[in-house]
Amino acid sequence: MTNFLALSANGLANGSIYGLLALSLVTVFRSTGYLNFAQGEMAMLSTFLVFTGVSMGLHIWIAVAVAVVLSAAVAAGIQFAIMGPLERKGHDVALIALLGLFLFINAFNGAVWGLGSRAPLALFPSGLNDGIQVLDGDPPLVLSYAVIGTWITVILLLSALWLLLNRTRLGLAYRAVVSNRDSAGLVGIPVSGMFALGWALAAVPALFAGVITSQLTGTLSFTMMVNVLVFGFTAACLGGFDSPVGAVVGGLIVGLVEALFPFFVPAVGNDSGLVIAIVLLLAVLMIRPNGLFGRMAVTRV
Amino acid sequence: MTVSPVYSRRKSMAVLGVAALLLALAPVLLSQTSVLKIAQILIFGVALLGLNLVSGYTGQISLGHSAFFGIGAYVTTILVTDYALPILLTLPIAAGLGFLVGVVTGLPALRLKGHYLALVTLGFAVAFPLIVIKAEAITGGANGKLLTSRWALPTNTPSWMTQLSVTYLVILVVTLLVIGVIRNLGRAGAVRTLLAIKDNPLAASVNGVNLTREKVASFALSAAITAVAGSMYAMTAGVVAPEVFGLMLSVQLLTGLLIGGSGTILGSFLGGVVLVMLPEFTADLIGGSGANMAYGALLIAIIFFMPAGIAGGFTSVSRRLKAPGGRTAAPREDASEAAPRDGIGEMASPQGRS
Repeated sequence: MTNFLALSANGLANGSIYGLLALSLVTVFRSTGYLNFAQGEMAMLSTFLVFTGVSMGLHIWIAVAVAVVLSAAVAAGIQFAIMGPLERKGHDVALIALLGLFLFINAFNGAVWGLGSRAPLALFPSGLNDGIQVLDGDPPLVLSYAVIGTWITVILLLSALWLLLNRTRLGLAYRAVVSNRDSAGLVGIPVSGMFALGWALAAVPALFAGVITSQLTGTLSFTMMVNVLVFGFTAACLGGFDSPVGAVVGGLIVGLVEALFPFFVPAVGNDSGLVIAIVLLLAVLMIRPNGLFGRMAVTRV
Repeated sequence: MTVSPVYSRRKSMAVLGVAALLLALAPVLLSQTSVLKIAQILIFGVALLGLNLVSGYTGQISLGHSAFFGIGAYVTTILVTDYALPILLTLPIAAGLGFLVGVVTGLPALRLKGHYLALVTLGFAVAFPLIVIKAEAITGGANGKLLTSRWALPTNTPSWMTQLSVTYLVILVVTLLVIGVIRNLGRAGAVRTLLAIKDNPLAASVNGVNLTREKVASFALSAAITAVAGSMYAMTAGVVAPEVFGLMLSVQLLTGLLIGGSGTILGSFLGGVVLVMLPEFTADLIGGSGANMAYGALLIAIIFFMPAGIAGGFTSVSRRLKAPGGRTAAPREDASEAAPRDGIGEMASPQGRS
């Protein structure tokens, strides 16, 4: 039983990472309509910015704050410099540009920070005894601060995003663009500015997804986000591409399924999470392509 | 409507014949290093012909072609090394398996509008090396697997008739066969159906095209062709390893296709040239991950400045030269005008919009 709960807790922590990345994907998708294939690599780049900040002697949270600003600026810059001018050429072109970005950022990171592994980041206390014992037993159920911190991060970020989008004029403008791009433009909302806002906002959960991935998996390398991107897409698909809450819920479900499926079906074996995620993705596409929280896409012909 | 050179049959047939003849002489005339290089170009060209079928004609983007390439390579390596099958027999088996996996991955994604194919195949591309590593007993795991095969050459052959030369000639023949298959598709109207789907899915389906069936069939055929290319890759490389067939290869293939010019046969082979030569240039300049950086930057530059790729650039230039009175349009506008037919470069259809 404790084993089951511990697996679930870890699954929910990993799921939170997927949810965070899915939240980024959804934030970009809602305004621009792109599936941002470069999001994982952008998260990885942000994580390395934090790494550089930390190795320059900054406290990790200050490094995170600096990296948030830089990452958001880079993301908005990408929208203005690359994606914006491609807007009228259609979505397939945008997708290819994003794949180009994917490859470029990945290789750029390898060139700047090297191809080897670095010491993982620790956003939350990561010592062996840094945790809260929730249940007695053998073994006792201990939730590490990293796991709890991950959960809190997801809740805070989702709330902050909700407040920003639903309680501010800026958020109203963003939602206007999401709901009807042309009309929003006609009433004077800077549409391309809102696209850039979507990109900049997406950089924040992506950064946390990257940093927390680094801590929870104990890795920091230029390939660390490729798998996470697949999980993130599965989560976004499961939740529905136009729903931020759906993205997080989808992430948690994917994390849980990944953790618990091998528990119930031991034949699957460990470390087949990716295959489980893909099967889940295929199942969602077969059964409910709009996801749990998504709207049915209606095209006018 | 002007037709692209794919369809102007007699002239391109002659060009193809001359090219094939010259290429067949390569082992006699050129050094073994050059022969290997041409072989690699042909292999990537065939892989791109496969990718072209799905990305150039139907306008869907596949990230799974690295895995199909890998499937072909592993099928040949395993069947020859462990089961002592004749190496030529593994080519159709690779194609068959590629087709099958193509149907399985394509079916759920291609029923839907939008970029679900890219999504599903992304997962497939990332998972493929991990699956290979996990199935260590069959695939040799992370260390890779050697392909042990030698052609039985008659004694007292001329000195140019090496193992590599024979492999090269086999590759050349297979390449010509694949080109023949694709040209026949064009003749049978299948390619026109695909182009119709790409230009306007709704109109195509109103005209009686079964969108899902056509898309899945072309995707699976595309997977099969790329698997054959992978199979030939194993023949020249002599060793396969899982990390070669990762997601990066897929993005590189897409880059090659776009640089060469998607939607044309010539473009696929120009793309092959880029894929073989570019890493060498960048290795001298930047080294390490330089090639991927160059691919990424090129991919973005190409859709900005040359949406129809190199081959598209040729066609639009030659068309302008032929046009009576000459056109005054600036080259860039011309390229983008040609693109809706030639490349993914200019997909104007509204699919994928939310």
